[in-house]
Amino acid sequence: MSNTFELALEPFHFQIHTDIPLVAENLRLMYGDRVHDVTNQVGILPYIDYILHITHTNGIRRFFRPQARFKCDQYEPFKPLNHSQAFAMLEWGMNWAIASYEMEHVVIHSGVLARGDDAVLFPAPPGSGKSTMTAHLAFNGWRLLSDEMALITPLSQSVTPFVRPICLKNQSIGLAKQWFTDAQFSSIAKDTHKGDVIHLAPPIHQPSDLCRPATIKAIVFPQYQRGAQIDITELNQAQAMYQLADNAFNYSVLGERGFNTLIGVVEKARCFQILYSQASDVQEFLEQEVLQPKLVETVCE
Amino acid sequence: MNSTIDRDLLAQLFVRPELAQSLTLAQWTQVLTVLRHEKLLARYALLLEHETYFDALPKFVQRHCHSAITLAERHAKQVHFELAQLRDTFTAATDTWLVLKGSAYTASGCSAAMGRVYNDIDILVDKPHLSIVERQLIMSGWMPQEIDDYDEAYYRQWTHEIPPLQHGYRGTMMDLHHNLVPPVSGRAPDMSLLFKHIELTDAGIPVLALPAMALHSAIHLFFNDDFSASFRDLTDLYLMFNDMSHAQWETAYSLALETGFATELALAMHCTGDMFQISLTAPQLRFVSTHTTLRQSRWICNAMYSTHPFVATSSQSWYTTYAWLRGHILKMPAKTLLYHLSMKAYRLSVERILGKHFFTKQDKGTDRVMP
Amino acid sequence: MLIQSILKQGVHLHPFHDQSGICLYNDNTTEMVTLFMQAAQIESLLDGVTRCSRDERRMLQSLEDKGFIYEHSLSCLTPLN
Repeated sequence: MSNTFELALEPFHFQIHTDIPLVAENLRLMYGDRVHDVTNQVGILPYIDYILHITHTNGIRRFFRPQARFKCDQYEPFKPLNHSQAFAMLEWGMNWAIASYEMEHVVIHSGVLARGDDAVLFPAPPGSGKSTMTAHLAFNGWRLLSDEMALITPLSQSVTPFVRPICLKNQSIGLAKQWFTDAQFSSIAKDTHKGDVIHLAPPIHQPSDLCRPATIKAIVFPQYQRGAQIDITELNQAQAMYQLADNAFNYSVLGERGFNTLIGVVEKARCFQILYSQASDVQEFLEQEVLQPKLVETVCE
Repeated sequence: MNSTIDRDLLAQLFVRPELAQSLTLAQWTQVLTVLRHEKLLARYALLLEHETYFDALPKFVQRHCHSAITLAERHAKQVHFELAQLRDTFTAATDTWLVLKGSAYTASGCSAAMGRVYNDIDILVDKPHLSIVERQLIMSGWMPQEIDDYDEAYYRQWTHEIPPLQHGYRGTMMDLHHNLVPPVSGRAPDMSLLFKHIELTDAGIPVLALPAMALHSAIHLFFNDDFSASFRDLTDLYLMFNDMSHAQWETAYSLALETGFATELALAMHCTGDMFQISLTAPQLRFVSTHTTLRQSRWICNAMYSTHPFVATSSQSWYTTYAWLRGHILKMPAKTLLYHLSMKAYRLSVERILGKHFFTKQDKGTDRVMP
Repeated sequence: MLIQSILKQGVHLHPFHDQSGICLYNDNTTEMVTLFMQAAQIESLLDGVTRCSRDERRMLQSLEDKGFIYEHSLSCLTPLN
């Protein structure tokens, strides 16, 4: 029994076909009123950017080791995954589609959150605790623009929101469930290439949070270490670029424009490497020392 | 859930882009999806972008067009760069080599270069020098792509190619050929006939002159068993045919007759005329009627349409199967064809039972999205 | 000698405003490289007289290998006697 959903995920519209019940359930949990079941009906959205399929594999395997396949239209970029990972696979598939086809933004693999309209990028490799940080800030007065992909308007420091669930792994799962008791969590995807994975729906305080851009004021390279005292190093521009480059994967398609965008972002932001164990310490630092000073200057004029 | 679009719409849009102004948002969703699938999104985007009404098209259409053009421009840059790197490697190994198909369109700057996106670079080398060239390439960092044993045997034994090579560092794929069609088909032409038509681009890259390039494109499409890009290939032919002068047509006719591929050229002419509603000139009509039958060309033409679910009509699969079979029959004698087909059928049935990915080796695609 | 004269066509150089280094982008290969030194420092290695340190040699050789700079443009990369 196949279902069709439409997902209004500004700035993109997706149509999702699935015959996997856990995908349908998680879509509703994670996206609330942004997702519509349009099975056997005329669609609600006026146009669709990408048509995605997340379905059971065919054949005998379906019965003894069920798997899920992802297709973007007719193209299948991944090998099938274990059935419990189907929703995570859809989320990764959405990332894949945007990363592969959307060239109007410079995309950095990074969390992005904003205090008001001042954005901070959190570019991070696996294991840095980036998503735990993202989750903490999202539930403590910051707005989430994205957990995985910062969409930067070329030749500017402006980030466009692409608000989607936060992806948490392994130990972070238990911690997040303790801290955010009212939040919506997806089912757990077991044994993915990242370990156990769960998705967490971010709070959306007002509708404009979904489409209001923010300006990058800071870049933070977080490194989580259990029990560590907070240790903040301000980076110079060369150091920041050196680290940022590892997380920028489509600037090369945009060529010189992409390159100049990264330069502009690095030169106009304050950049830090932060070793931490308490996300609240990082939050305090950013609010008091990095984003706050602008307000003080205004008052004194 | 999504209704289909008329199968002639894409062809009409190609020759009359102003029709874009009358498409609904729902139609655009389907058109963009099909064009992306057919690797034609950038080509159509370039046609539309130059028009005064482009800014009045829906914003999401403009966005997809801009993105596709950006990607295609990057592909083109990469091809130019890659060919510049390869030029010295090849000229050191042989005097006779040339670039074929899409990469040649881009290298030569011909109109079929418009909006091209690439999977690989096709290069043809004279057969005596094939081994030397293969060795030189491997020394320059090109590695044979991992394919299963059956496919490797197929390539080396039966076709006009060696298995694909991939550059270890840059990741570019290359197909190295020694003829235009498999020798086992009995129709492989004397390559010296084609080597006479090689010309150098400004960057010193050898390609076929336009008439020979168009003929090769026709041979590749109508002698091939792979119709998955047939609609795009027809747009390539349309663009090249459109640019050919009377003298160039005469050259194309003679070369087609010399190499024994007059039928393929005639089919290409008939199908492009039919698909894009172009009237052929008197000499063109004469050539077509001399070298094809109406029944043959009608069947083939019907197989040229996109097979995307948003477009395909119910009779489409018959035409595609016919064209596929014809392609295979042309390429291989019956005995070897039977073996090849039964291997393919065996693999298909294994995939159906055990699931599609039984034969696939490590999928690079998964690596790309892992953060 | 100015560094621009040895950069290949399609290579862009940006010196960071805080003088912490320079960033090079090669539009041919789409590779990007960040160097923790100033353009002036590299230029001083081009004067034909100054000797490179081992690190400088390695860095410049890498730029040459990756197609950022023209081959044989740096005398300090010729073998030491």
